[in-house]
Amino acid sequence: MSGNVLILAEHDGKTLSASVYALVTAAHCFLPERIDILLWGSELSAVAEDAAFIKDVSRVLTAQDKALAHPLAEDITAIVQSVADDYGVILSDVSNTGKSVVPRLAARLDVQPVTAVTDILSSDTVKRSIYSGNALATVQIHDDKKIMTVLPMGFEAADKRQDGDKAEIIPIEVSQTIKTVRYIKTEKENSNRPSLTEAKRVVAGGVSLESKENFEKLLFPLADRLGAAVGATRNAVDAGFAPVDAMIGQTGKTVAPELYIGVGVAGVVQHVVGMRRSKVIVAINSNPEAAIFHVADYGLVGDMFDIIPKLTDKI
Amino acid sequence: MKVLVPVKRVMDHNVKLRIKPDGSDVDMTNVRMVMNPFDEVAVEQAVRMKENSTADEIVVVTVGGAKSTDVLYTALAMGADRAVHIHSEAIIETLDVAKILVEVVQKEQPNLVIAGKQATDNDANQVGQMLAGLLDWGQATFVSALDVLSDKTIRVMWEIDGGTETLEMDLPCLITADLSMVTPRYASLPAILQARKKPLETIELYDMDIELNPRVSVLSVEYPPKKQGAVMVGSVDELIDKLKNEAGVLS
Ligand SMILES: Cc1cc2nc3c(=O)[nH]c(=O)nc-3n(C[C@H](O)[C@H](O)[C@H](O)COP(=O)(O)OP(=O)(O)OC[C@H]3O[C@@H](n4cnc5c(N)ncnc54)[C@H](O)[C@@H]3O)c2cc1C
Ligand SMILES: Nc1ncnc2c1ncn2[C@@H]1O[C@H](COP(=O)(O)O)[C@@H](O)[C@H]1O
Repeated sequence: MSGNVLILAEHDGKTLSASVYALVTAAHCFLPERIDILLWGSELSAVAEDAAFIKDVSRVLTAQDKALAHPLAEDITAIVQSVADDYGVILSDVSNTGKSVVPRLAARLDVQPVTAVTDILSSDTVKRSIYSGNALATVQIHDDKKIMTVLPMGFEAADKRQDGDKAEIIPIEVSQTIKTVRYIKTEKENSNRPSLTEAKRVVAGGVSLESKENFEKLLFPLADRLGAAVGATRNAVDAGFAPVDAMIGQTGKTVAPELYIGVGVAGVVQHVVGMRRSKVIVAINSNPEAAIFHVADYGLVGDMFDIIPKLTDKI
Repeated sequence: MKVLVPVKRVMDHNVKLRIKPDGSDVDMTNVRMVMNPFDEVAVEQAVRMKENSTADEIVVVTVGGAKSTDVLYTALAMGADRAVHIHSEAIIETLDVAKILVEVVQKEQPNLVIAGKQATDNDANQVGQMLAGLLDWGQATFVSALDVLSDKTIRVMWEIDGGTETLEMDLPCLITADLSMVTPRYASLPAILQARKKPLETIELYDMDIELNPRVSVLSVEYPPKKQGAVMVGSVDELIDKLKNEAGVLS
């Protein structure tokens, strides 16, 4: 099997996702002969240029086509499949795109994928969390081809090249796109806060904030003071206080900022699995027995409606 | 329209997980088992489609040991019409589950498959996408809202990174359900009794033309690292002081 690693690289047309740099570092765990990056989309010149300047990247494959302005999982899968023969390892972020594409791709290549890998121990042995984060499994992969989604937070960002050289940019053909699934529209959360998965600081709120108004009134000023992203528990999202996109946990995003502040967050395992890797965890909860205090570094018992405005003022 | 819902029997997430002393695996003796929570959502969605006449038949299927008929009865009690049990006591990896479900789809010919987004035991989040890939069907994952536009087309909303995306999909296609799609009902006692009378077909896996081919072995299972427990502070000022001078995350 080929010793080459392919990284499925996400971007917004202007900048590469920070996960791409982490995945390049992760790729080194497989002792590859070559690390290549695959990009897809309707306009790739800027991001391809960025990708070409990441240290140790050999080739940047670009699947550029007007039809890929809103790429669908079926189309991304077909693109990756068209180049998959050259690679022994295919890596993706655990983004929603990655989660959607990777199993489809793997099945079509008759490979058993491994998803949400947290640590790569050797070229065939990895760790991942199971049972909503209640346990960690170390698994060995016997397929020759290894296809996985990887949590980027465990890996340092790869450096930019300093030698003035750059990777070769190679356009690849987009042969056909799916017709039976049609893109209609996107609704983006308009916010000038950093994105949850890339933020250095995160303020997260729970359902005990009681309403969307309270959630925003209490947490937004604190987040803005800190330059933080705003996250939420599933219960807060289900209650309509925050968009689905803000959910942290087993079925939401995994975050690992330098500072996570949980405000009225119970700290149930399904939430904790998504924030446990944060460097410093602060919990503010009125119940001294709350589970969040078991995973926090600093805890403050009290009423958040009283504490948060004070904290916001003084920070 | 005919809807197929694959459901899995998993450990109840409310029970405390134990790992075998030798660290080889999770200890499954005497733990309460339930239908995977995402699959309950998928069944509920299908039942609502039947109630508003956009679906006319709901078939539920599970691949698993003898006891996994429990979850089929739960689904029948919720309102599914018919159940298929692919029986095997083996531990089956997701790719093989998907290959088995391909056969079920080919036999049942549903217009729509609604799977759960992930099983809460392995947390794989794979089978739906694999099944769609093997069938060469359109897929939408992590769906939070589903509208039936006609007997040929559905409209779904799914969560993308940074927002939501709406897609229109021609049938047949596959979607995977997120918890936010609908809230599953509790089956009433009469419905639970009635479920026992609904058709449940058992197919032995060894009678199917499928060879299990495990490719990933679990070397060990451990508890996640425990923290010391938080340093409790008494005031906002003390918290800020610690974050600045001890943790170094504020300046
Ligand atoms: C299959 C499945 C998947 C799930 N996935 C996720 C997931 O991805 N993410 C997730 O977050 N959850 C998830 N959950 C839900 C999870 O189990 C918890 O129920 C949820 O995280 C709890 O949310 P909460 O902390 O907002 O609410 P609660 O459990 O209601 O806790 C509220 C907390 O606020 C505290 N509080 C109340 N009033 C105040 C006050 N005035 N000041 C300070 N503190 C106060 C209380 O002491 C309590 O600790 C999932 C559940 C299931 C079954
Ligand atoms: N053994 C099984 N039998 C039937 N359906 C399954 C089985 N395993 C997984 N599924 C379906 O696939 C979904 C995703 O599971 P997984 O990929 O294992 O996380 C589940 O929510 C079910 O709908």
